[in-house]
Amino acid sequence: MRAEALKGHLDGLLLASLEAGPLHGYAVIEVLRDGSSGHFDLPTGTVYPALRRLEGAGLVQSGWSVVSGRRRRTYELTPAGRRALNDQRTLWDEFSGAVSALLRRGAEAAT
Amino acid sequence: MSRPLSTRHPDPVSSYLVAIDAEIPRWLRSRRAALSELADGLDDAITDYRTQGLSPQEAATRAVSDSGPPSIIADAFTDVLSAGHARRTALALLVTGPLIGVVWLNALVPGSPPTMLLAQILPLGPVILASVVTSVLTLLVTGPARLRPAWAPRRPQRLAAFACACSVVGDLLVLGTTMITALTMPGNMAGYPLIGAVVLTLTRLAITQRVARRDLTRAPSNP
Repeated sequence: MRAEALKGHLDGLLLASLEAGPLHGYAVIEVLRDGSSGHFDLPTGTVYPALRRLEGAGLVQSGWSVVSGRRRRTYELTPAGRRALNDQRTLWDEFSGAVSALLRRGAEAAT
Repeated sequence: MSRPLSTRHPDPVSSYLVAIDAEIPRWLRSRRAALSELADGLDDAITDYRTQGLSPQEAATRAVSDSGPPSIIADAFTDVLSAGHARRTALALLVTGPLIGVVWLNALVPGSPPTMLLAQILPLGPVILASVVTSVLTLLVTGPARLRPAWAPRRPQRLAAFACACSVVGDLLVLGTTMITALTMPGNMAGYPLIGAVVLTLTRLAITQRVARRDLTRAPSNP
């Protein structure tokens, strides 16, 4: 799935990928790819600026750590980031529920 | 692009990073750190492709191709880094403003309240107010997501540049008034406090006029 298709959902997905704990940029890409069975294979060049944008918004914070012998910048959720993630979840549940209901009704009417 | 970054990576990656670097304004000082981080990510992608059996050259080419067009990546980084730059500029103005104000107060009308200085240089009040308001707005639109207004611009550097322009006008007003007073009533000017105030103001002026000219006169590449 292309990054443009995720427009509007990218921030929520990035926040969700960091929910379990701090990760460096490429690990975020792997979590999204593996967690979506390969559907969300985001471009490297999309994820890094987006993580920095979330940091600027106070939703994640970054620090340096050594991962597999390499010094990496890792990101983790801030309390504001956790709240934003919960808000995104609620919005998504409402949105997807409404779309599913409409799509199902359309399919039932056609049969 | 620094030499270590360009020589560390296989050629497609190096060219890719140079192309992105060329499209990010030079004055964004976090540029190199951001690109180093991206280079790390590309290294990881190359390692992934290598474990899948691709040659180093093929792996590097695939990693670069997956990452996205340099102009789009540069644009995304410019947005993020510009916001940080605008925020630091606004903070610097809000911190240096009162400091320079106190120094001038001490130099021109020692022992008097700030209103005395504002009364002596009438246009100074509105100019300071405009600079402070614009600086606070810049902090607001670049701050925590929950406080950002819906109208927040994607690149707020013009807001910070306007605050700088107001600061330039304020500094010139004070310097001009001082020069006129020094020429017409030379005995009324205090020595060292005045020199300190002039040096501080000229230093800030050198920085703020550059920011104001750079960001107000040049059209944004992608507003």
